[in-house]
Amino acid sequence: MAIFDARAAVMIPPRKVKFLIRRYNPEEGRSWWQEYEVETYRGMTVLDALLKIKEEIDHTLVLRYSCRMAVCGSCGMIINGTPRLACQTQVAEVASEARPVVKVEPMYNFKVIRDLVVDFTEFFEKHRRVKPYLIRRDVEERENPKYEYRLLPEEYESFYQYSLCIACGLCVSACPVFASDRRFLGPQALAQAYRFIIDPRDEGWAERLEIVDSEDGVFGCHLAASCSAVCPKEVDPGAAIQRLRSLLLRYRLGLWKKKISGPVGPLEKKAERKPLPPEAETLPGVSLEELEESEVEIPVDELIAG
Amino acid sequence: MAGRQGRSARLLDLRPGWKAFVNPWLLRIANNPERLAFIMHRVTGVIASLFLFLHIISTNVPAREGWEAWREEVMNLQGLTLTSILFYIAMGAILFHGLNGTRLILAEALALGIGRPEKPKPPYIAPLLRGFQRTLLYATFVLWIILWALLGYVMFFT
Amino acid sequence: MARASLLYLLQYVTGALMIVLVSWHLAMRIPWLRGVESFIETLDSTVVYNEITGFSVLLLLLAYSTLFHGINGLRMILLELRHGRYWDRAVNIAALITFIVFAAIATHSVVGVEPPS
Ligand code: SF4
Ligand code: FES
Repeated sequence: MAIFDARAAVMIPPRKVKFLIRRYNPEEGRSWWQEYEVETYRGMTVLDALLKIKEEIDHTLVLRYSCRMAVCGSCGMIINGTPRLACQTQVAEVASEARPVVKVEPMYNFKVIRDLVVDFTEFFEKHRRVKPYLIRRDVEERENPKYEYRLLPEEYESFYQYSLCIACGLCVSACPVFASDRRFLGPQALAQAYRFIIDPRDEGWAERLEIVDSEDGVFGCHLAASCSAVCPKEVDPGAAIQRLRSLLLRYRLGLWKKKISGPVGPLEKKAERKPLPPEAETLPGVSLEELEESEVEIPVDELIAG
Repeated sequence: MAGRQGRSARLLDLRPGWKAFVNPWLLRIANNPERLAFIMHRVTGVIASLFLFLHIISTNVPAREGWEAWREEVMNLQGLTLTSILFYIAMGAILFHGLNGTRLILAEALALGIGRPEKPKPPYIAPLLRGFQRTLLYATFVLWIILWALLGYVMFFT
Repeated sequence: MARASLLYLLQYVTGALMIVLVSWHLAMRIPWLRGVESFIETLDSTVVYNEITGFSVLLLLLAYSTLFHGINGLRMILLELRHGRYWDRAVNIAALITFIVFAAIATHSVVGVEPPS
Protein backbone atom coordinates (compact mmCIF):
# COMPACT_ATOMS: atom_id res chain seq x y z
CA MET A 1 0.00 0.00 0.00
CA ALA A 2 1.36 3.30 -0.89
CA ILE A 3 -0.01 6.43 0.62
CA PHE A 4 -1.70 6.96 -2.68
CA ASP A 5 -3.52 3.84 -3.80
CA ALA A 6 -5.32 4.20 -7.10
CA ARG A 7 -7.31 1.02 -6.50
CA ALA A 8 -8.97 2.64 -3.49
CA ALA A 9 -11.15 4.66 -5.83
CA VAL A 10 -13.09 1.62 -6.99
CA MET A 11 -13.08 -0.40 -3.79
CA ILE A 12 -16.33 -0.88 -1.94
CA PRO A 13 -16.18 -0.82 1.86
CA PRO A 14 -18.04 -3.35 4.01
CA ARG A 15 -21.62 -2.19 4.58
CA LYS A 16 -21.24 -1.74 8.31
CA VAL A 17 -17.90 -0.79 9.82
CA LYS A 18 -17.02 -0.68 13.50
CA PHE A 19 -15.05 2.39 14.54
CA LEU A 20 -12.89 2.07 17.64
CA ILE A 21 -11.92 5.55 18.75
CA ARG A 22 -9.50 6.45 21.49
CA ARG A 23 -11.10 9.29 23.37
CA TYR A 24 -9.86 11.62 26.06
CA ASN A 25 -11.72 13.93 28.36
CA PRO A 26 -9.45 16.60 29.87
CA GLU A 27 -11.95 17.66 32.55
CA GLU A 28 -11.99 14.22 34.10
CA GLY A 29 -8.52 13.27 32.88
CA ARG A 30 -10.04 10.05 31.56
CA SER A 31 -9.01 8.20 28.39
CA TRP A 32 -10.97 5.30 26.98
CA TRP A 33 -11.80 3.39 23.79
CA GLN A 34 -15.27 3.89 22.40
CA GLU A 35 -17.03 1.84 19.78
CA TYR A 36 -19.38 3.11 17.07
CA GLU A 37 -21.02 1.34 14.19
CA VAL A 38 -21.28 3.27 10.96
CA GLU A 39 -23.13 2.48 7.79
CA THR A 40 -20.81 3.15 4.90
CA TYR A 41 -21.17 4.11 1.28
CA ARG A 42 -18.84 3.84 -1.64
CA GLY A 43 -16.17 6.56 -1.59
CA MET A 44 -16.55 7.26 2.13
CA THR A 45 -13.39 8.54 3.77
CA VAL A 46 -12.50 8.03 7.40
CA LEU A 47 -13.13 11.73 7.96
CA ASP A 48 -16.64 11.38 6.49
CA ALA A 49 -17.27 8.50 8.83
CA LEU A 50 -16.07 10.45 11.86
CA LEU A 51 -18.28 13.39 10.91
CA LYS A 52 -21.20 11.02 10.47
CA ILE A 53 -20.60 9.69 13.97
CA LYS A 54 -20.47 13.25 15.28
CA GLU A 55 -23.68 14.21 13.50
CA GLU A 56 -25.79 11.12 14.05
CA ILE A 57 -24.48 9.14 17.00
CA ASP A 58 -22.34 11.10 19.44
CA HIS A 59 -22.10 14.89 19.35
CA THR A 60 -19.35 14.96 21.94
CA LEU A 61 -16.71 13.50 19.62
CA VAL A 62 -14.10 16.18 18.93
CA LEU A 63 -11.82 16.29 15.91
CA ARG A 64 -10.02 18.86 13.81
CA TYR A 65 -10.45 19.18 10.06
CA SER A 66 -10.88 21.85 7.49
CA CYS A 67 -10.36 21.27 3.78
CA ARG A 68 -11.46 17.60 3.45
CA MET A 69 -9.04 17.22 0.52
CA ALA A 70 -5.55 16.67 1.92
CA VAL A 71 -4.51 20.29 1.52
CA CYS A 72 -4.69 21.91 4.95
CA GLY A 73 -3.04 19.20 7.05
CA SER A 74 -5.47 19.41 9.99
CA CYS A 75 -6.80 15.90 10.13
CA GLY A 76 -3.74 13.74 10.85
CA MET A 77 -4.60 10.68 12.94
CA ILE A 78 -3.35 7.18 13.56
CA ILE A 79 -5.67 4.95 11.58
CA ASN A 80 -5.24 1.22 12.15
CA GLY A 81 -1.73 1.88 13.39
CA THR A 82 -0.59 4.03 10.47
CA PRO A 83 -0.29 7.81 10.70
CA ARG A 84 -2.50 9.14 7.87
CA LEU A 85 -4.72 12.00 6.90
CA ALA A 86 -8.30 10.99 7.71
CA CYS A 87 -9.65 12.82 4.67
CA GLN A 88 -7.22 11.06 2.34
CA THR A 89 -7.99 7.57 3.62
CA GLN A 90 -10.85 5.61 2.15
CA VAL A 91 -12.71 3.40 4.60
CA ALA A 92 -12.44 0.67 1.98
CA GLU A 93 -8.65 0.87 2.18
CA VAL A 94 -8.44 0.22 5.91
CA ALA A 95 -11.46 -2.00 6.56
CA SER A 96 -12.13 -5.29 4.82
CA GLU A 97 -15.03 -7.72 4.86
CA ALA A 98 -12.89 -10.04 6.95
CA ARG A 99 -12.07 -7.32 9.47
CA PRO A 100 -14.58 -4.47 9.32
CA VAL A 101 -12.89 -2.56 12.14
CA VAL A 102 -11.15 0.82 11.97
CA LYS A 103 -9.09 1.93 14.95
CA VAL A 104 -8.61 5.69 15.20
CA GLU A 105 -6.19 7.27 17.66
CA PRO A 106 -4.86 10.77 18.08
CA MET A 107 -1.33 11.26 16.69
CA TYR A 108 1.50 9.97 18.87
CA ASN A 109 4.32 12.26 19.98
CA PHE A 110 1.87 15.14 20.41
CA LYS A 111 -0.07 16.04 23.50
CA VAL A 112 -3.77 15.36 23.27
CA ILE A 113 -6.13 18.23 24.00
CA ARG A 114 -9.35 16.29 23.66
CA ASP A 115 -10.37 13.14 21.79
CA LEU A 116 -8.59 13.33 18.43
CA VAL A 117 -7.34 16.92 18.67
CA VAL A 118 -3.65 17.32 19.46
CA ASP A 119 -1.58 20.29 20.54
CA PHE A 120 0.61 21.73 17.77
CA THR A 121 2.28 24.43 19.90
CA GLU A 122 5.60 22.59 20.15
CA PHE A 123 5.52 21.58 16.53
CA PHE A 124 5.13 25.15 15.28
CA GLU A 125 7.60 26.38 17.88
CA LYS A 126 10.20 24.04 16.38
CA HIS A 127 9.26 25.01 12.86
CA ARG A 128 9.75 28.65 13.81
CA ARG A 129 13.09 27.92 15.42
CA VAL A 130 14.74 27.02 12.10
CA LYS A 131 13.70 30.39 10.61
CA PRO A 132 11.57 29.12 7.72
CA TYR A 133 11.74 32.24 5.56
CA LEU A 134 14.19 33.90 3.19
CA ILE A 135 16.74 36.05 4.97
CA ARG A 136 18.56 38.78 3.03
CA ARG A 137 21.44 40.95 4.24
CA ASP A 138 20.30 43.92 2.17
CA VAL A 139 17.23 45.04 4.09
CA GLU A 140 16.54 47.99 1.79
CA GLU A 141 16.45 45.69 -1.21
CA ARG A 142 14.28 43.20 0.63
CA GLU A 143 11.73 45.73 1.77
CA ASN A 144 11.45 47.61 -1.52
CA PRO A 145 12.42 45.11 -4.16
CA LYS A 146 12.86 46.40 -7.69
CA TYR A 147 13.71 43.14 -9.41
CA GLU A 148 13.20 39.48 -8.71
CA TYR A 149 15.99 37.18 -7.46
CA ARG A 150 17.58 34.83 -9.88
CA LEU A 151 16.56 31.17 -9.53
CA LEU A 152 17.56 28.62 -12.13
CA PRO A 153 15.22 25.72 -12.87
CA GLU A 154 17.65 23.11 -11.54
CA GLU A 155 18.13 25.08 -8.31
CA TYR A 156 14.38 25.27 -8.02
CA GLU A 157 14.05 21.53 -8.43
CA SER A 158 16.60 20.87 -5.70
CA PHE A 159 14.22 22.19 -3.04
CA TYR A 160 10.79 22.29 -4.67
CA GLN A 161 9.82 18.92 -3.23
CA TYR A 162 10.61 20.03 0.32
CA SER A 163 8.57 23.19 -0.03
CA LEU A 164 5.37 21.19 -0.48
CA CYS A 165 5.03 20.47 3.24
CA ILE A 166 1.56 21.15 4.63
CA ALA A 167 2.65 20.92 8.29
CA CYS A 168 0.33 18.04 9.06
CA GLY A 169 2.66 16.53 11.65
CA LEU A 170 2.35 12.94 10.42
CA CYS A 171 6.11 12.62 10.02
CA VAL A 172 6.66 13.74 13.60
CA SER A 173 4.10 11.27 14.90
CA ALA A 174 5.79 8.44 13.00
CA CYS A 175 9.33 9.33 14.11
CA PRO A 176 10.79 6.79 16.59
CA VAL A 177 13.40 9.25 17.83
CA PHE A 178 10.83 11.92 18.56
CA ALA A 179 8.93 9.34 20.58
CA SER A 180 11.57 9.43 23.29
CA ASP A 181 13.36 12.72 22.67
CA ARG A 182 11.12 15.70 23.13
CA ARG A 183 13.96 18.12 22.35
CA PHE A 184 14.54 16.70 18.88
CA LEU A 185 13.60 19.23 16.22
CA GLY A 186 11.75 16.64 14.21
CA PRO A 187 11.63 15.76 10.51
CA GLN A 188 9.35 18.59 9.48
CA ALA A 189 11.48 21.40 10.96
CA LEU A 190 14.73 19.87 9.69
CA ALA A 191 13.36 19.40 6.18
CA GLN A 192 12.31 23.04 6.17
CA ALA A 193 15.74 24.08 7.44
CA TYR A 194 17.31 22.26 4.50
CA ARG A 195 14.82 23.75 2.08
CA PHE A 196 15.91 27.27 3.04
CA ILE A 197 19.60 26.53 3.47
CA ILE A 198 20.04 25.40 -0.12
CA ASP A 199 17.76 28.05 -1.57
CA PRO A 200 20.20 30.25 -3.51
CA ARG A 201 18.14 33.35 -2.69
CA ASP A 202 18.71 32.90 1.03
CA GLU A 203 21.54 34.41 3.08
CA GLY A 204 20.60 33.16 6.55
CA TRP A 205 22.09 29.69 6.03
CA ALA A 206 24.92 30.09 8.55
CA GLU A 207 22.54 30.84 11.44
CA ARG A 208 20.37 27.91 10.48
CA LEU A 209 23.35 25.56 10.29
CA GLU A 210 24.30 26.62 13.82
CA ILE A 211 20.79 25.83 15.02
CA VAL A 212 20.63 22.35 13.51
CA ASP A 213 24.17 21.40 14.53
CA SER A 214 23.37 19.53 17.73
CA GLU A 215 22.24 16.18 19.08
CA ASP A 216 18.71 17.51 19.15
CA GLY A 217 19.02 18.87 15.64
CA VAL A 218 20.15 17.06 12.56
CA PHE A 219 22.22 14.48 14.46
CA GLY A 220 19.17 13.21 16.30
CA CYS A 221 18.04 11.52 13.09
CA HIS A 222 19.02 7.88 12.63
CA LEU A 223 17.43 7.18 9.29
CA ALA A 224 14.38 5.15 10.27
CA ALA A 225 12.76 6.75 7.20
CA SER A 226 9.27 6.46 8.65
CA CYS A 227 8.74 10.15 7.97
CA SER A 228 9.25 9.67 4.24
CA ALA A 229 7.02 6.61 4.26
CA VAL A 230 4.01 8.37 5.82
CA CYS A 231 4.25 11.87 4.32
CA PRO A 232 1.06 12.47 2.31
CA LYS A 233 2.77 15.05 0.06
CA GLU A 234 5.88 13.02 -0.77
CA VAL A 235 8.03 15.68 0.86
CA ASP A 236 10.69 13.08 1.72
CA PRO A 237 11.93 14.67 4.95
CA GLY A 238 14.22 11.69 5.52
CA ALA A 239 16.30 12.41 2.44
CA ALA A 240 16.31 16.14 3.24
CA ILE A 241 17.80 15.44 6.67
CA GLN A 242 20.52 13.18 5.24
CA ARG A 243 21.43 15.88 2.70
CA LEU A 244 21.45 18.49 5.44
CA ARG A 245 23.70 16.38 7.64
CA SER A 246 26.17 15.61 4.91
CA LEU A 247 26.16 19.28 3.91
CA LEU A 248 26.80 20.32 7.51
CA LEU A 249 29.72 17.90 7.86
CA ARG A 250 31.19 19.12 4.59
CA TYR A 251 30.69 22.72 5.68
CA ARG A 252 32.53 22.09 8.96
CA LEU A 253 35.40 20.57 6.97
CA GLY A 254 35.45 23.61 4.69
CA LEU A 255 34.29 21.65 1.66
CA TRP A 256 30.97 23.37 1.07
CA LYS A 257 30.33 26.89 -0.11
CA LYS A 258 26.91 28.42 -0.37
CA LYS A 259 25.93 29.78 -3.76
CA ILE A 260 23.96 32.97 -3.40
CA SER A 261 22.16 34.71 -6.21
CA GLY A 262 21.01 38.29 -6.10
CA PRO A 263 18.45 40.33 -8.04
CA VAL A 264 18.50 39.74 -11.78
CA GLY A 265 18.56 43.42 -12.68
CA PRO A 266 16.62 45.11 -15.46
CA LEU A 267 15.51 42.93 -18.33
CA GLU A 268 17.39 43.11 -21.58
CA LYS A 269 16.36 45.66 -24.19
CA LYS A 270 13.37 44.74 -26.25
CA ALA A 271 14.46 42.71 -29.24
CA GLU A 272 13.84 43.71 -32.84
CA ARG A 273 10.41 42.65 -33.97
CA LYS A 274 10.48 39.93 -36.58
CA PRO A 275 8.31 40.70 -39.57
CA LEU A 276 5.21 38.57 -39.92
CA PRO A 277 5.37 35.82 -42.49
CA PRO A 278 3.64 36.93 -45.70
CA GLU A 279 0.73 34.49 -45.31
CA ALA A 280 -0.26 35.93 -41.89
CA GLU A 281 -2.60 38.89 -42.00
CA THR A 282 -3.99 41.12 -39.27
CA LEU A 283 -7.70 41.82 -39.02
CA PRO A 284 -8.75 44.88 -40.94
CA GLY A 285 -8.31 48.05 -38.92
CA VAL A 286 -5.82 46.54 -36.43
CA SER A 287 -2.26 47.80 -36.36
CA LEU A 288 0.30 45.70 -34.55
CA GLU A 289 2.62 48.65 -33.81
CA GLU A 290 -0.19 50.54 -32.14
CA LEU A 291 -1.25 47.58 -30.08
CA GLU A 292 2.27 47.06 -28.81
CA GLU A 293 2.68 50.65 -27.68
CA SER A 294 -0.71 51.03 -25.99
CA GLU A 295 -1.28 50.11 -22.32
CA VAL A 296 -3.48 47.13 -21.62
CA GLU A 297 -6.78 48.30 -20.22
CA ILE A 298 -9.27 46.05 -18.51
CA PRO A 299 -12.58 47.80 -17.81
CA VAL A 300 -12.96 46.35 -14.33
CA ASP A 301 -15.76 48.62 -13.16
CA GLU A 302 -17.77 48.00 -16.28
CA LEU A 303 -17.33 44.27 -15.97
CA ILE A 304 -18.48 44.24 -12.36
CA ALA A 305 -21.47 46.46 -13.08
CA GLY A 306 -22.41 44.45 -16.14
CA MET B 1 1.30 31.82 32.74
CA ALA B 2 -0.36 30.07 35.62
CA GLY B 3 -3.49 29.51 33.56
CA ARG B 4 -1.44 28.11 30.72
CA GLN B 5 0.35 25.75 33.03
CA GLY B 6 -2.94 24.61 34.47
CA ARG B 7 -4.16 23.88 30.98
CA SER B 8 -1.13 22.04 29.73
CA ALA B 9 -1.02 19.90 32.86
CA ARG B 10 -4.28 18.35 31.73
CA LEU B 11 -3.06 17.39 28.25
CA LEU B 12 -2.64 13.69 27.66
CA ASP B 13 0.80 12.55 26.61
CA LEU B 14 0.70 9.53 24.33
CA ARG B 15 4.39 9.37 23.52
CA PRO B 16 5.57 5.75 23.31
CA GLY B 17 9.02 6.67 24.72
CA TRP B 18 11.80 4.09 24.54
CA LYS B 19 9.33 1.47 23.35
CA ALA B 20 9.66 3.07 19.92
CA PHE B 21 13.16 1.68 19.54
CA VAL B 22 12.59 -1.79 20.80
CA ASN B 23 9.16 -2.52 19.36
CA PRO B 24 9.01 -2.76 15.55
CA TRP B 25 5.22 -3.30 15.67
CA LEU B 26 4.42 -0.05 17.46
CA LEU B 27 3.20 1.53 14.24
CA ARG B 28 2.22 -0.27 11.09
CA ILE B 29 3.94 1.66 8.37
CA ALA B 30 4.05 0.04 4.96
CA ASN B 31 7.17 0.02 2.79
CA ASN B 32 9.49 0.87 5.65
CA PRO B 33 12.10 -1.82 6.40
CA GLU B 34 14.45 1.01 7.38
CA ARG B 35 12.58 1.31 10.63
CA LEU B 36 13.27 -2.33 11.44
CA ALA B 37 16.91 -1.75 10.54
CA PHE B 38 16.98 1.30 12.83
CA ILE B 39 15.65 -0.72 15.75
CA MET B 40 18.03 -3.58 15.10
CA HIS B 41 20.94 -1.19 14.71
CA ARG B 42 20.22 0.23 18.17
CA VAL B 43 19.74 -3.12 19.84
CA THR B 44 22.79 -4.70 18.21
CA GLY B 45 24.79 -1.56 19.02
CA VAL B 46 24.00 -1.88 22.71
CA ILE B 47 24.81 -5.60 22.66
CA ALA B 48 28.06 -4.91 20.81
CA SER B 49 29.18 -2.23 23.27
CA LEU B 50 28.46 -4.45 26.26
CA PHE B 51 30.39 -7.23 24.52
CA LEU B 52 33.21 -4.77 23.86
CA PHE B 53 33.56 -3.96 27.55
CA LEU B 54 33.63 -7.63 28.49
CA HIS B 55 36.01 -8.40 25.62
CA ILE B 56 38.48 -5.74 26.73
CA ILE B 57 38.40 -7.06 30.27
CA SER B 58 38.79 -10.68 29.20
CA THR B 59 41.60 -10.04 26.73
CA ASN B 60 43.40 -8.27 29.53
CA VAL B 61 43.80 -11.64 31.27
CA PRO B 62 47.17 -12.66 29.70
CA ALA B 63 48.72 -9.39 30.81
CA ARG B 64 47.05 -9.42 34.22
CA GLU B 65 47.06 -13.04 35.31
CA GLY B 66 49.26 -14.84 32.85
CA TRP B 67 48.67 -17.38 30.10
CA GLU B 68 47.43 -20.17 32.30
CA ALA B 69 44.28 -18.19 33.11
CA TRP B 70 43.87 -17.37 29.44
CA ARG B 71 43.88 -21.05 28.50
CA GLU B 72 41.17 -21.73 31.05
CA GLU B 73 39.13 -18.88 29.68
CA VAL B 74 39.43 -20.13 26.13
CA MET B 75 38.26 -23.58 27.18
CA ASN B 76 34.90 -21.97 28.05
CA LEU B 77 34.44 -21.19 24.38
CA GLN B 78 34.88 -24.77 23.23
CA GLY B 79 31.71 -26.62 22.32
CA LEU B 80 28.20 -25.57 23.21
CA THR B 81 28.47 -23.70 26.49
CA LEU B 82 26.67 -20.67 27.84
CA THR B 83 29.72 -18.52 27.16
CA SER B 84 30.06 -19.71 23.60
CA ILE B 85 26.37 -19.13 22.89
CA LEU B 86 26.47 -15.59 24.29
CA PHE B 87 29.66 -15.04 22.30
CA TYR B 88 27.93 -16.25 19.16
CA ILE B 89 24.99 -13.87 19.75
CA ALA B 90 27.38 -10.97 20.26
CA MET B 91 29.12 -11.88 17.00
CA GLY B 92 25.78 -11.78 15.19
CA ALA B 93 25.08 -8.36 16.65
CA ILE B 94 28.46 -7.07 15.52
CA LEU B 95 28.01 -8.47 12.01
CA PHE B 96 24.63 -6.81 11.59
CA HIS B 97 25.83 -3.54 13.07
CA GLY B 98 28.78 -3.47 10.71
CA LEU B 99 26.84 -4.36 7.57
CA ASN B 100 24.02 -1.95 8.30
CA GLY B 101 26.53 0.64 9.45
CA THR B 102 28.15 0.61 6.01
CA ARG B 103 24.83 1.59 4.49
CA LEU B 104 24.28 4.23 7.17
CA ILE B 105 27.67 5.84 6.62
CA LEU B 106 26.98 6.07 2.90
CA ALA B 107 23.50 7.50 3.37
CA GLU B 108 23.97 9.70 6.42
CA ALA B 109 27.46 11.07 6.16
CA LEU B 110 27.85 11.15 2.40
CA ALA B 111 24.19 11.41 1.32
CA LEU B 112 24.68 8.60 -1.19
CA GLY B 113 21.99 6.25 -2.38
CA ILE B 114 19.06 8.32 -1.16
CA GLY B 115 17.63 9.26 -4.53
CA ARG B 116 17.40 12.78 -5.85
CA PRO B 117 14.70 15.42 -5.28
CA GLU B 118 11.93 15.22 -7.83
CA LYS B 119 8.52 16.60 -8.60
CA PRO B 120 6.08 14.31 -6.76
CA LYS B 121 3.99 12.12 -8.99
CA PRO B 122 1.78 9.09 -8.40
CA PRO B 123 2.13 6.70 -6.68
CA TYR B 124 3.97 9.13 -4.40
CA ILE B 125 6.70 6.92 -3.05
CA ALA B 126 9.52 9.05 -1.68
CA PRO B 127 12.86 8.86 -3.56
CA LEU B 128 14.60 7.85 -0.32
CA LEU B 129 12.58 4.64 -0.26
CA ARG B 130 13.44 3.86 -3.87
CA GLY B 131 17.12 4.76 -3.67
CA PHE B 132 20.13 2.49 -3.76
CA GLN B 133 20.16 2.34 0.05
CA ARG B 134 17.09 0.13 -0.13
CA THR B 135 19.00 -2.42 -2.22
CA LEU B 136 21.85 -2.22 0.27
CA LEU B 137 19.39 -2.79 3.08
CA TYR B 138 18.09 -6.01 1.56
CA ALA B 139 21.67 -7.07 0.86
CA THR B 140 22.47 -6.37 4.52
CA PHE B 141 19.82 -8.78 5.73
CA VAL B 142 20.80 -11.51 3.30
CA LEU B 143 24.55 -11.17 3.92
CA TRP B 144 23.99 -11.04 7.64
CA ILE B 145 22.19 -14.36 7.73
CA ILE B 146 24.81 -16.01 5.50
CA LEU B 147 27.80 -14.65 7.42
CA TRP B 148 26.30 -15.44 10.78
CA ALA B 149 25.58 -19.01 9.73
CA LEU B 150 29.15 -19.36 8.42
CA LEU B 151 30.44 -18.03 11.71
CA GLY B 152 28.38 -20.60 13.56
CA TYR B 153 29.96 -23.31 11.43
CA VAL B 154 33.44 -22.02 12.20
CA MET B 155 32.75 -21.68 15.92
CA PHE B 156 30.91 -24.89 16.63
CA PHE B 157 31.91 -27.37 13.91
CA THR B 158 35.65 -26.93 13.51
CA MET C 1 30.90 19.80 25.24
CA ALA C 2 32.42 19.59 21.90
CA ARG C 3 30.34 20.46 18.91
CA ALA C 4 27.95 17.73 17.89
CA SER C 5 29.23 17.80 14.32
CA LEU C 6 32.77 16.98 15.43
CA LEU C 7 31.60 14.05 17.58
CA TYR C 8 29.48 12.69 14.79
CA LEU C 9 32.21 13.15 12.23
CA LEU C 10 34.41 11.02 14.50
CA GLN C 11 31.54 8.56 14.90
CA TYR C 12 31.38 8.08 11.13
CA VAL C 13 35.14 8.02 10.67
CA THR C 14 35.67 5.44 13.42
CA GLY C 15 32.74 3.51 11.97
CA ALA C 16 34.39 3.36 8.56
CA LEU C 17 37.71 2.44 10.14
CA MET C 18 36.07 -0.34 12.14
CA ILE C 19 34.50 -1.89 9.07
CA VAL C 20 38.05 -2.59 7.91
CA LEU C 21 39.66 -3.36 11.25
CA VAL C 22 36.90 -5.57 12.67
CA SER C 23 36.79 -7.57 9.44
CA TRP C 24 40.51 -8.15 9.83
CA HIS C 25 40.12 -8.92 13.53
CA LEU C 26 37.44 -11.52 12.78
CA ALA C 27 39.37 -12.95 9.83
CA MET C 28 42.25 -13.69 12.21
CA ARG C 29 39.95 -16.24 13.86
CA ILE C 30 39.17 -18.18 10.70
CA PRO C 31 41.12 -21.44 11.09
CA TRP C 32 41.83 -22.09 7.37
CA LEU C 33 43.43 -18.69 6.91
CA ARG C 34 45.77 -19.42 9.79
CA GLY C 35 46.59 -22.93 8.67
CA VAL C 36 45.15 -24.66 11.74
CA GLU C 37 42.31 -27.12 12.21
CA SER C 38 39.80 -25.44 14.52
CA PHE C 39 38.57 -22.13 15.84
CA ILE C 40 39.86 -22.85 19.34
CA GLU C 41 43.39 -23.39 18.03
CA THR C 42 43.46 -19.82 16.73
CA LEU C 43 43.13 -18.75 20.36
CA ASP C 44 46.21 -20.70 21.39
CA SER C 45 48.55 -18.67 23.59
CA THR C 46 51.51 -18.54 21.20
CA VAL C 47 49.27 -17.57 18.27
CA VAL C 48 47.62 -14.84 20.34
CA TYR C 49 50.93 -13.62 21.69
CA ASN C 50 52.39 -13.31 18.20
CA GLU C 51 49.30 -11.46 17.11
CA ILE C 52 49.41 -9.00 20.00
CA THR C 53 53.07 -8.20 19.55
CA GLY C 54 53.02 -8.26 15.75
CA PHE C 55 49.98 -6.01 15.28
CA SER C 56 50.04 -3.99 18.48
CA VAL C 57 49.42 -0.63 16.81
CA LEU C 58 46.49 -1.91 14.75
CA LEU C 59 44.95 -3.59 17.78
CA LEU C 60 45.23 -0.44 19.86
CA LEU C 61 43.75 1.63 17.06
CA LEU C 62 40.90 -0.86 16.87
CA ALA C 63 40.36 -0.72 20.63
CA TYR C 64 40.32 3.07 20.82
CA SER C 65 38.06 3.63 17.83
CA THR C 66 35.66 0.89 18.93
CA LEU C 67 35.53 2.31 22.44
CA PHE C 68 34.84 5.79 21.14
CA HIS C 69 32.18 4.56 18.74
CA GLY C 70 30.46 2.38 21.32
CA ILE C 71 30.54 4.82 24.20
CA ASN C 72 29.42 7.73 22.04
CA GLY C 73 26.56 5.57 20.79
CA LEU C 74 25.45 4.64 24.30
CA ARG C 75 25.78 8.28 25.37
CA MET C 76 23.57 9.31 22.45
CA ILE C 77 20.83 6.88 23.50
CA LEU C 78 21.02 7.93 27.14
CA LEU C 79 20.81 11.63 26.26
CA GLU C 80 17.77 10.86 24.15
CA LEU C 81 15.93 8.95 26.86
CA ARG C 82 15.98 11.61 29.54
CA HIS C 83 16.72 15.27 29.74
CA GLY C 84 17.92 17.61 32.43
CA ARG C 85 21.04 19.59 33.14
CA TYR C 86 22.41 17.19 35.74
CA TRP C 87 21.53 14.10 33.75
CA ASP C 88 23.26 15.44 30.64
CA ARG C 89 26.37 16.33 32.57
CA ALA C 90 26.40 13.01 34.44
CA VAL C 91 26.11 11.08 31.17
CA ASN C 92 28.89 13.04 29.53
CA ILE C 93 31.24 12.61 32.48
CA ALA C 94 30.43 8.93 32.82
CA ALA C 95 31.14 8.46 29.11
CA LEU C 96 34.50 10.17 29.42
CA ILE C 97 35.48 8.13 32.49
CA THR C 98 34.42 4.85 30.87
CA PHE C 99 36.48 5.70 27.81
CA ILE C 100 39.59 6.47 29.85
CA VAL C 101 39.29 3.39 32.07
CA PHE C 102 38.73 0.94 29.24
CA ALA C 103 41.34 2.56 27.03
CA ALA C 104 43.81 2.11 29.89
CA ILE C 105 42.88 -1.55 30.29
CA ALA C 106 43.24 -2.12 26.53
CA THR C 107 46.61 -0.41 26.50
CA HIS C 108 47.76 -2.58 29.38
CA SER C 109 46.70 -5.77 27.61
CA VAL C 110 48.94 -4.89 24.69
CA VAL C 111 51.85 -3.26 26.46
CA GLY C 112 52.04 -5.45 29.55
CA VAL C 113 51.87 -8.84 27.87
CA GLU C 114 54.63 -11.40 28.61
CA PRO C 115 55.64 -14.26 26.25
CA PRO C 116 53.93 -17.55 27.13
CA SER C 117 56.13 -20.12 28.80
S1 SF4 D 1 6.90 16.74 5.85
FE1 SF4 D 1 5.08 15.64 5.07
S2 SF4 D 1 4.33 14.48 6.86
FE2 SF4 D 1 5.74 16.03 7.65
S3 SF4 D 1 4.45 17.80 8.21
FE3 SF4 D 1 5.17 18.12 6.11
S4 SF4 D 1 3.58 17.28 4.78
FE4 SF4 D 1 3.23 16.46 6.86
S1 FES E 1 -9.13 18.09 6.33
FE1 FES E 1 -7.52 19.23 5.36
S2 FES E 1 -6.00 17.70 5.21
FE2 FES E 1 -7.67 16.51 5.92
